[in-house]
Amino acid sequence: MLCCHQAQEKKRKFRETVELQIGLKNYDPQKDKRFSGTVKLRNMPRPSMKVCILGDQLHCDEAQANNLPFMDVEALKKLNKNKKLVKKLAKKYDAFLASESIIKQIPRILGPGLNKAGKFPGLLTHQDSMTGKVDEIKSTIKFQMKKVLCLSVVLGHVEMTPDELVINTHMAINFLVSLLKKHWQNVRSLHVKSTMGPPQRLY
Amino acid sequence: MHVGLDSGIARSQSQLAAVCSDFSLSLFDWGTLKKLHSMRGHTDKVTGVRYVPGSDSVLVSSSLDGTVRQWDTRSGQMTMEHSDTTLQKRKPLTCVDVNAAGRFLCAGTEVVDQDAYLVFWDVRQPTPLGGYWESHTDELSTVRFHPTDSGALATGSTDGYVNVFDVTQTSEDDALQATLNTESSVSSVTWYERRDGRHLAVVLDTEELQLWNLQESERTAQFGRQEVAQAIRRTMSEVCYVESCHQTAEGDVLAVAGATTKEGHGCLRLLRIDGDRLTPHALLEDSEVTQQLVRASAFSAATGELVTGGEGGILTLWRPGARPSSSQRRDAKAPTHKQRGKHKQKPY
Repeated sequence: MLCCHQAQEKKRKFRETVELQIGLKNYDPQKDKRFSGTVKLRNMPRPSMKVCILGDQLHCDEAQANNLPFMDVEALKKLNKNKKLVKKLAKKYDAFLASESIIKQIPRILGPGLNKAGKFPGLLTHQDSMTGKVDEIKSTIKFQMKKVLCLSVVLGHVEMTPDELVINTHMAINFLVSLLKKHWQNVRSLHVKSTMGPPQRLY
Repeated sequence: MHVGLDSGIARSQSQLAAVCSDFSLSLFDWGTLKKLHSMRGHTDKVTGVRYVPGSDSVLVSSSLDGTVRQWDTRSGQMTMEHSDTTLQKRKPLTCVDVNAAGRFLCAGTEVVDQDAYLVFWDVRQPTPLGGYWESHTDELSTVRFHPTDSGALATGSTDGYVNVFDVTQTSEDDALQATLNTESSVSSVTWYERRDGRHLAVVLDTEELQLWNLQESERTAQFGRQEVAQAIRRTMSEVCYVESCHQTAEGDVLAVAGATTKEGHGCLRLLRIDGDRLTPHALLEDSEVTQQLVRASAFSAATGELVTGGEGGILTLWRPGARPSSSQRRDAKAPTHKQRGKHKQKPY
């Protein structure tokens, strides 16, 4: 049914996101355990995320070789903890990865600006594959239940194949249901929706 | 009246304080679990409760009603109400702690007009000393002062960051010492020491554990839900959970972890975090108690005793090598004989 919907898609100027909307029941946001976290999906839901490497010498060289944007410690220090410049940096990229030697200096060099933007870097070690870690960031989605009994998570985008979307949907649903106390008894409904399209009921 | 027990239990030398779902607090004698007082005043859910360190008689509680209240536990009366109305409206408070010297209070807030705050008060003043609002982007889930260093504060949020502050500094920029990115959502943090300095044990909302070395801002270990399940000898990770961590007098870190299922298959255990391994430390056996999801616990490092509270409204005191005692059961039946010698210290 997902691919049927995609075939009917009008041509849009942007790549629409596909989301899973979960309606909950028998769950009291005031009393029950917080429902919040992240999960990594198999097929990259957000391939066009811009990730910047805040690297030591080795990582900067590697970033350059991989055509990834990067900054070294000197470049960060040049921002002089200026709030406006740090904010501008935060806006320029969707996420950051930082080398071990740099990540612990970030609060001293930049202040809380990246925290404020919700973009404090993830750790990049010399054992990690840089492109692997970047792909991991692009594959990880966040979910959070606020006060209404319904939440939405990114599954992918309309240019993914139906198989890719189905795999992502299964992974997301299984993970989220496993965190609910009563599992499937806490799920009232599941819908899949692309940004501009109508919701389609799955459950 | 249902005891909520999802916002925490606080302990002092001889007492226990637990939150009730009618917005009141109940005080119990630690040893007998006999109820001493009810303390009423909050007008919305109570989100945190702590004793002022070293004191049996001063308790503080935070609430979504926007106040931190101080209580005299001898009379059960409120002695002070702190709030933050700098934005002309109260900020719902989600967690609270008192520093080691008993001088300062810190409470975290929900997101208010796109900011998530940490608000500080002097215990003697109803209006705030100040606040931080640049270091977190989402609701604060926990604030924890260092057990002996009055200036060190660790905070955790659903934004996934654990921030460590030196609150003796004058500005937030200077106070922020480290940001640890768990890349998930933080539920609780526990300070512990090792030879190389300070560490934090972080419990995540996804029922996982991470250990962090503060000197290096480095994650030294992480345990996923599968590993927690294995450590508590369960095959289905989807019924397993981690409630929180505690430090023992010997400096070990213990995690309260369990599994919920019907028909007595629930379990509750203490796991010891050993470098990069989770090892069984004690089995807490009582089928009625362990049926329920344990949402709060308090530990006495001096005696090794643990109190747990769960969604079934039962408070249970676990003693090494003895039978547990519980309050607020529906029937007064004693635990069955097979549960003798509970909370053994030998591994399973």
